[in-house]
Amino acid sequence: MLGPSLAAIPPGALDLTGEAARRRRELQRAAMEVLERSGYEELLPPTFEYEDTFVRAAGTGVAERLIRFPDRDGRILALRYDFTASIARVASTTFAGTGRPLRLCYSGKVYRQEPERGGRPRETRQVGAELLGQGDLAADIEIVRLTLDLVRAAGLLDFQLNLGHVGVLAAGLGALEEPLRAEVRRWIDRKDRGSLLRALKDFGGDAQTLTVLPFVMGRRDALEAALEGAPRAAVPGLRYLLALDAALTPGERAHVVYDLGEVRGLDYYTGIHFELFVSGAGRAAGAGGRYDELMGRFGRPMPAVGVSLDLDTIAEVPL
Amino acid sequence: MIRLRIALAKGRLYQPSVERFTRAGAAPAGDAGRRLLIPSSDPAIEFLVVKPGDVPVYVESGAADLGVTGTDVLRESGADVLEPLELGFGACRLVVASPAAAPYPELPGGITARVATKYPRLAQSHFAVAGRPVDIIQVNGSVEVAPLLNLSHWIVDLVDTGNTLRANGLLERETILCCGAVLVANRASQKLKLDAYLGLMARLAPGEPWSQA
Repeated sequence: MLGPSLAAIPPGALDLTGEAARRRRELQRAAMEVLERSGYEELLPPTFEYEDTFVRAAGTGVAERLIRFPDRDGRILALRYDFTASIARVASTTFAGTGRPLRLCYSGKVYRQEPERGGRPRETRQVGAELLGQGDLAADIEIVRLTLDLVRAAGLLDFQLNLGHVGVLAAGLGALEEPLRAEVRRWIDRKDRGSLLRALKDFGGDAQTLTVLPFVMGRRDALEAALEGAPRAAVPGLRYLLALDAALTPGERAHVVYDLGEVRGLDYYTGIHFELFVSGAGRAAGAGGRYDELMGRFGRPMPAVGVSLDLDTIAEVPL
Repeated sequence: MIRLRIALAKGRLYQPSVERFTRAGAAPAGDAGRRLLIPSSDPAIEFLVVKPGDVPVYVESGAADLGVTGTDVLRESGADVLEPLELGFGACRLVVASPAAAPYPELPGGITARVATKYPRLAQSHFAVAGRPVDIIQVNGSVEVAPLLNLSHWIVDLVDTGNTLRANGLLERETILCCGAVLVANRASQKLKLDAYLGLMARLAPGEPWSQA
């Protein structure tokens, strides 16, 4: 037997061979073909950056999930937490002078700390794309369409994109004070309607809509029904989703479910946001949306919308 | 065809869970016995019977679509699942208890308290938030005897009536969490099998507006 120092593989590290390796390579190649054909230029960022780059992009919440180590000069480096941070950095420096919009894509691993108990992988393979410098509906539709193309290229048939808009719950949440607002967000996140009804029963108006809107999930008719009685501040978001729906083809629409109850991205996304769910996978296999405030944090304010897919989750789905 | 697999916890929550699902038209067909998977009177629903601590794991991973667990086990696990319904049974409290005769919370000589518990994460975070350093000792049963045997000064454990604590000369000092049975759901499954999910919720809690707008 090997001694502990030779035998050990760190928790959350994986060796992949055979079919598992082949499937990932095929998925990556199929995805990159779609991205290249769609006019996205590949960026190969470094595997490590200054930790500040990732925190600047995704907020202080990611700090505890970075895998960090000191550089020779004492500055702290982190393994690539996501590609979006590096893309934002490059777009605001190397590509600062090039024309807009910028279409960039990537494929590779991201590295994240996971809770100790689970033994969850600490490195996962992603492919994704960012469309920078274009803030209209056409850009959002382009990314939604691209996402569906990527999923189809992976050979998946049974999947859905759960799509929402951050503006829809903003009015209701804005009517609440902390710490109740944080509690309400947690209940919405857990779909705990009982607690919401109890806590909000004495509230009127906009706050009251938080017992209804977060549970709306369905097709176009669900959005239209939600529009009735929605607070005025929620109307633009709902209308935006209806306009997006109108632009999709019937084949695309079959895979899009409007879901007004996702609150996790509210601090990051500024417009549409979505998660990809694949039959056979117990968690989301991809996510994306609009984050117009991201580039401003790198000194070059411009609109941005993007998507990333989790290739490991997709690779493990039984075909 | 099976649409929903529901994980039930063996032990104190099992019988009330079975009763609740039976009233909702999904009665487990026969006793768990040695079988892990048991069909129900609803052909679209099957049950999976596992150890209480495993329910959050099965549901978080998607091996089960839904599950019944206690909030104590759920919070200790830290599992990322939906919690759509409190089931109204299995009420109890997670508390700090110590020997009735001993001073609390200070220990003589300023020594650090040792705390025996089946809930190391919840105990750790309770004392950490209060800024009180303690030494957590994880045990898997018979927590109440730990102070008698000098394994620990205090315990953190689940109490229902409090009889077991009293029988061991222990006094409840602080409540960490009020617990009860809760229905949990896998995040992806709830979205992919929305119709089946909403149908079951309407049967489990007929008074609440589960159907979509």
